[in-house]
Amino acid sequence: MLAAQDVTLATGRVVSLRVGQGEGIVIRGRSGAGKSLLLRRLADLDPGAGRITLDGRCHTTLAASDYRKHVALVPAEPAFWHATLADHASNADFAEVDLCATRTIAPIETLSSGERMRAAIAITVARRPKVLLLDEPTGPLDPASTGLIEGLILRLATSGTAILLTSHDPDQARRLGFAAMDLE
Amino acid sequence: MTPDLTPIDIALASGLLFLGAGLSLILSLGIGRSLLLAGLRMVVQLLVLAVLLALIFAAGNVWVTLAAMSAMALFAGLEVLARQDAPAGRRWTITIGAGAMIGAGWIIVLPALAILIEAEPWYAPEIALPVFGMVAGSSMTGMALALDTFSTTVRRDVRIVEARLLAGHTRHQALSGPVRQAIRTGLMPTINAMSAIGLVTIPGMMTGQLLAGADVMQAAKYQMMLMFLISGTSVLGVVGAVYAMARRLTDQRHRLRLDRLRVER
Repeated sequence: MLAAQDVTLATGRVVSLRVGQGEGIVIRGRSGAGKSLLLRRLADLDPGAGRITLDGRCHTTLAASDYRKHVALVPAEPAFWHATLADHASNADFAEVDLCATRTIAPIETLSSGERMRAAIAITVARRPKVLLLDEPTGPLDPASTGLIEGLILRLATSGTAILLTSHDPDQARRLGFAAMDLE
Repeated sequence: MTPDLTPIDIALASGLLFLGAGLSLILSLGIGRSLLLAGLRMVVQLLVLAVLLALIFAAGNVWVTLAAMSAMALFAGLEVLARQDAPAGRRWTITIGAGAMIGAGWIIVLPALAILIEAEPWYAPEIALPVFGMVAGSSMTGMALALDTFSTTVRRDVRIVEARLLAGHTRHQALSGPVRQAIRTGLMPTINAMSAIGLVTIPGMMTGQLLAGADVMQAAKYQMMLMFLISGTSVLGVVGAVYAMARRLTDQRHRLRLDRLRVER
């Protein structure tokens, strides 16, 4: 589904990977190893050398907006441009990430970092991407919320979504049953 | 007509500078030397300008007049660059500043010279250059403010802009917030100038006409027209410069290219 060949990151590291339908990869590595940069390259947010293909087609043959609908990134620090979550995606299932209706109409500034991350995941999932890129999705979450998000990730993978996520949790790949890739 | 000033008149007026320098010495302000140097620069620059204008006026040639306007626009571009906290490349910022000034200035000022002022010929440098200079000077401030606000806002809101790009928005949609903010800020000096004009000071062009012995109402009408030209040039120049900079800070793949901003401290 999504393949990266000899993709050069700003750190100088050259990375190749491939993730198929319903598969998952947990990208690990110390801070500064280039995990976030790799996801940004895969989401076509940064320019650079290397070849990225989606379903065998070079990503540049797709319009940028179309490509990002299929390959969606949730950054480590999600940002919002409307006043409330409900304004961003009327079809998002916020209950699935344990956000009650009152939180979806609350001002964004009142949300905690954990709520923002869960909301960003729900909004991105509502776009039904083929490939979901998650930058430390459980970094700001408590153990219960981590379990909730991991459950959602597994359901998405089962339904055919390819998933790449970065993590500092050494056990996360095992819990999800995903392959691990070390950027060391 | 204004009475002729002799070199002695100018020398006497310059004595006021020495008054300032003397006070600086007594009060230990430390600005005496700067005051005298600035005064000297002013005298030299105005003398050079007078000589150049005399040559251009004597030539009375359309291409010479347009070249002089282009040179003024280029200096405006350099000034726009100097006022940027994080210019998007030296050459690019000067090009955007000067290009927007030439484009907007010519679109507004040249037809105004021919149709409204009815200058004979339309490019008469005695009229065209002072009018273009006043329009360019005011618009330049707006453009510099707008471009600085734009780059500052984009850097501050980088996560929001990228979140919108990730949601499939085009670069124009993703940058709509910073673009609006920059254009509003860039047009503020023009709006404020029009709102406050005549309340505190008699504006420049009107002062010049009154000193030259023109009728008061005629001077007011010329000032009104000049302000309309400035507002038109500012709107076109600011909008053009901000959109050009928005394109510069993104690429064909609708990616934000902050690497093209050169941060200077």
